[in-house]
Amino acid sequence: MSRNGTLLLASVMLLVVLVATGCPRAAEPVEPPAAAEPQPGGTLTHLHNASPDNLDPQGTVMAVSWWVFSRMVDTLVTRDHDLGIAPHLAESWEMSKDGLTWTFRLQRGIRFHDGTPFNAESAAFSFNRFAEVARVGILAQLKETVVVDEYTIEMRLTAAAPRFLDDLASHYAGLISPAAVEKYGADFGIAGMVGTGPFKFHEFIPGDRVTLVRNEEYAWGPPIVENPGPAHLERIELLVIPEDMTRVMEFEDRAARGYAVTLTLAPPADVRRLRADPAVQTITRTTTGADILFINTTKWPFDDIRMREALIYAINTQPIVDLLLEGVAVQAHTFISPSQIGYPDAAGPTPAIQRPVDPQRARELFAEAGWLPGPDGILVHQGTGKRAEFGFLTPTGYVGEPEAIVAQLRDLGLDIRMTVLEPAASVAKAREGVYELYLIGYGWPDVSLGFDLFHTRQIGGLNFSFLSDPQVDEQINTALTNLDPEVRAAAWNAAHVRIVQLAPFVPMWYDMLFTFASKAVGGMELVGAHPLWASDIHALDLHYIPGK
Amino acid sequence: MHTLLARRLASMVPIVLGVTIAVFAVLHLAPGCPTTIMLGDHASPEAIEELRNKLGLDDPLYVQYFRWLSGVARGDFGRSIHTRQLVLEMVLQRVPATMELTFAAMILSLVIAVPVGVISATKQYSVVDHATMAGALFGVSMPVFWQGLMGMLVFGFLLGWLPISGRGGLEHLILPAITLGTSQAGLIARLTRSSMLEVIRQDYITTARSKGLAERVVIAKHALKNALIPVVTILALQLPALFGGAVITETVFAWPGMGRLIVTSIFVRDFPVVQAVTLIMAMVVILCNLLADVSYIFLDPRIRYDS
Repeated sequence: MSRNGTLLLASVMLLVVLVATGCPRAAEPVEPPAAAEPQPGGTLTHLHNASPDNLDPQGTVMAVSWWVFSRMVDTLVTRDHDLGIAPHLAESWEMSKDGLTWTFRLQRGIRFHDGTPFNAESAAFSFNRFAEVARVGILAQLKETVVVDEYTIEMRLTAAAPRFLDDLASHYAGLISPAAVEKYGADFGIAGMVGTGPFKFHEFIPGDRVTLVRNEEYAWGPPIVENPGPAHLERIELLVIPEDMTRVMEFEDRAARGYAVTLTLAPPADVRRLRADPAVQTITRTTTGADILFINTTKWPFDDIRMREALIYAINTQPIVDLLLEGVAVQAHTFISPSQIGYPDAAGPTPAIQRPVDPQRARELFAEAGWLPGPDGILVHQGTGKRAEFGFLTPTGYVGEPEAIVAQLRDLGLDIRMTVLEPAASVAKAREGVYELYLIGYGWPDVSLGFDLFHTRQIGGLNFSFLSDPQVDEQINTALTNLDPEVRAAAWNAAHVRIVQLAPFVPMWYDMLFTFASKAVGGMELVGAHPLWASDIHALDLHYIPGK
Repeated sequence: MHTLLARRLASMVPIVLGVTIAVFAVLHLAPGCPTTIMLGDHASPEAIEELRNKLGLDDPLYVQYFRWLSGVARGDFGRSIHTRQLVLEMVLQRVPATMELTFAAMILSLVIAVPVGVISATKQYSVVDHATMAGALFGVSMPVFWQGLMGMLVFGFLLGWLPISGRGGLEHLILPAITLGTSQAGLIARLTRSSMLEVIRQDYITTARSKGLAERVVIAKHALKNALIPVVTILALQLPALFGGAVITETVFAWPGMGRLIVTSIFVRDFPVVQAVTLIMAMVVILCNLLADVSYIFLDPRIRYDS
C-alpha cells in the first residue's frame, strides 16, 4: 500500500474513534420535576437485561416476570409503609387457634380484566391451583381452599405457618381468572394473563418485549397508594436488551428525547456516571440479601473451625468495596441484610458480631491448626506435608472481586486455585462439594432464605458450606413454625448467633440496587419512599411528564 | 443431477442425527440443571427432584433422546422447559428476524464487496486497490461485538440518525446488517479480487479484448461470471457462518432472532429449544453446502456431477 493510502486509512480510523469516544453529547439542561397534578396518558418503557419466562404468577420464579405480572394482579393482603400487613382484596381475616385454618372475607364489586367477577369461587380456584402447580417456594403449608359463601373463603394448612400472611402479600400469590386459565390452557402466561390489577395484558413476545395497557375500570388500589385507580399511565412496556452497553445507551437516548424510561442493572461504571447525571432520577436500595464466601465445612482442612475462623480474620472486604465496588456495594457483616424483613429480630441488639480483620490472628490460627510457611511462602501442613492449595469457585459476573480475595489469601500463604463458571454451572458444581470455597450472592425479601443456606435440609441444595448442626436446624424450624412472635424472634437470633460461631462463611458485601428514570417519569419519589421498593403498587402513582 | 440431490439429501439424515446426539450429550453433560433455574433460590432439593421427575430429566439420557426424537419425527418439538411455550412456535417466531438480518447482511456485503473486488483487481497495485484491500482487511479483522457497539454509539447515540436497538422498520435493520455484513464483505471483496485477477489473465479474456470488445463488456460479461464461481461457493458456505455471527449481532442489538434464543436457552439449560435450533442450524449448513454444489452446474456448464 502507498504511504498516502495508509495515512488516509489511519485518519479515517482515528476520526471514527475520536467521534466515538471523545465527543460525548452535551448534557441538556434539565428542569426540576414539575409538581403539577399527574395527567392521564403516556407510556413508561422499562429496559431490562432478561426476558420474563412466563407471566403466570404461579408458573415462574423470575424477578423480571414478577416485575410484569405484579402490575396485572392484586393480592388478598398487602404491605403498608411500616412493612406491616394491610387488607387489599380481603376486607378482613381471622386465624383459628391452632393456626391451621384462615378465614378471609373478600371485597365486593371487583372484576378480573376479562369480566369474570372476583368472588370466593375464583379465589378458591386461584389458591387451589397455586397449591398444585406453583413453582415459587411460598405458601408451602397450604393444603386447600374452600368456599364458605360467595365472599368468604377458608384456607386450610397442613401445619401452622406464622408467615402465611407475608406469603399472601407476595404477588406470586396474586389472584388469577379461572376463565382465562381455562381459555389459554397450557399457554396461560404466554398468550394471555388475566388478573384484577391496574394493568392488563396486551402483548408478550418472549425474549423481546411485553406490553401492558391500563385497566380503565380499576378503582381498588391498596390504601398505601395516592391514586386508587385507574393508573395515570396508559401503557407500560418492558423491552429486553441483554447487552449492558446497549441498554444504557438506549436509556440515555430515550431520556434525552423526553421519553418516560426506566433502567435497572446498569454496569458499575455506568451507575457512577448516571448517578451524577442531573438529567436522571435515581432510586437506591440495598439488596435484600448478601454476597457470601461459603467455606466447605466438611472438606479437610476446613472441617477444623480454626481454619475457617482464620479465613474470616484474613479476608478484608473493605478495599474491595472501596475500590472495585465504589458506590455500588457496602461491606456486609453477616449473611443476612438490614434490608430484609425480620432482620432486627434475627440480628439481635449486636448485629456486627463478625470478627475484625486481623491477618496476624489468621496466621496464628493457621499455625495452631498445623500450617506453617514453606520455603516459597505457601503454608505447609506439618502433619501430612501437604501444601495449602485450595479450590475456589465463583460464577461469572464479578469484576475482579474474586481475584482480590485470592491475592489477599496468597499474602497469607494460601495458594488458591480459582475456577469461574457461568452461574447455573457454578451452582451445580458447588453442590458437589468439590471446592473448598464458593463465592455467590443471594436475594430474598425476608431473612428465612439466608438461614436456609445453613440448614441441613438444604445440603445438596443451597447449603454450600455443607454445615449440619442440630442446634441451628432446631432454631430455624422453631422460627419458621412457632406462632408466638417473641419465640420466633428469639429463635432467629439464636440461630444467627450459632451460625456465626460455627464460621461456615465470610460475609462479603451488600450490593446496592439502582433504578434510573428519565425526568419524564413522574411519581418516582413515591416509589423511592417505600421500604420494599414496591414499584408494583406505585405503578398507579407513576405518570408521564410531557416535555421533560 | 437428480442422483446428486437424492444422494446428498439422504446423507443429511445421519449427519443431522449425529449433530443432535452430540449436542444432546454436551448439553446434558454440562453442569447445571434447568429445574434449579426454574424453581429459584428457595427451592428445596426435594422440590427440585420432584420437578426433574415430572419433566423426565431423571430418565437415562438415551431414553430422553429417543423421546425427543420420536416427538420430532411426529412434528412435535415439545414445550420449552423454561417458558412452557411450544418450541416450534418459539423458533418460528424468531426465524423471520434472523432471516431478515442474515439476508440483509449478505445482500449488503455482496453489493459492496463484488464491485470493490472487481475495481481492485482491474486497478491492481493502485492507491484504490491498496485502500480497498486495507479496508477489506479491517472489515474481516474487526470484532463484530466492538464494531456493533461503535456503530451504535456513533450513528445511534451521538448522531441520532439510526435506532440503537430492537427490531422495527428498515431503519432498525441498517446498523445490525452492516455489523454482520462487514466481515463477510471483507472476505468476499478479497476473494473476488483474487479470482478476477486469475480470470483476467486467461486466454479467452485476451481473445475477447482482441475482438475489440469494450473493457466494461469484457469484465462484466466474460470475466465476472467465471470469477464468481469461488465467490458463490464461499457465499453458500458462509451463510451458516452468518447465522453464527447473528448470535453476537442479535445480542448486541437486542434483535429478537434465533441467535439470541439459543444463547438464552443455553444459559437456562432449556434443552428442547437448544435441540430444535441446533437441528435447524445443522439442516441450514447442509442445505447451503448442497446449494453451493448445485450452483456450480449453472455457473460452469463444464461441471457435470452425473458423469
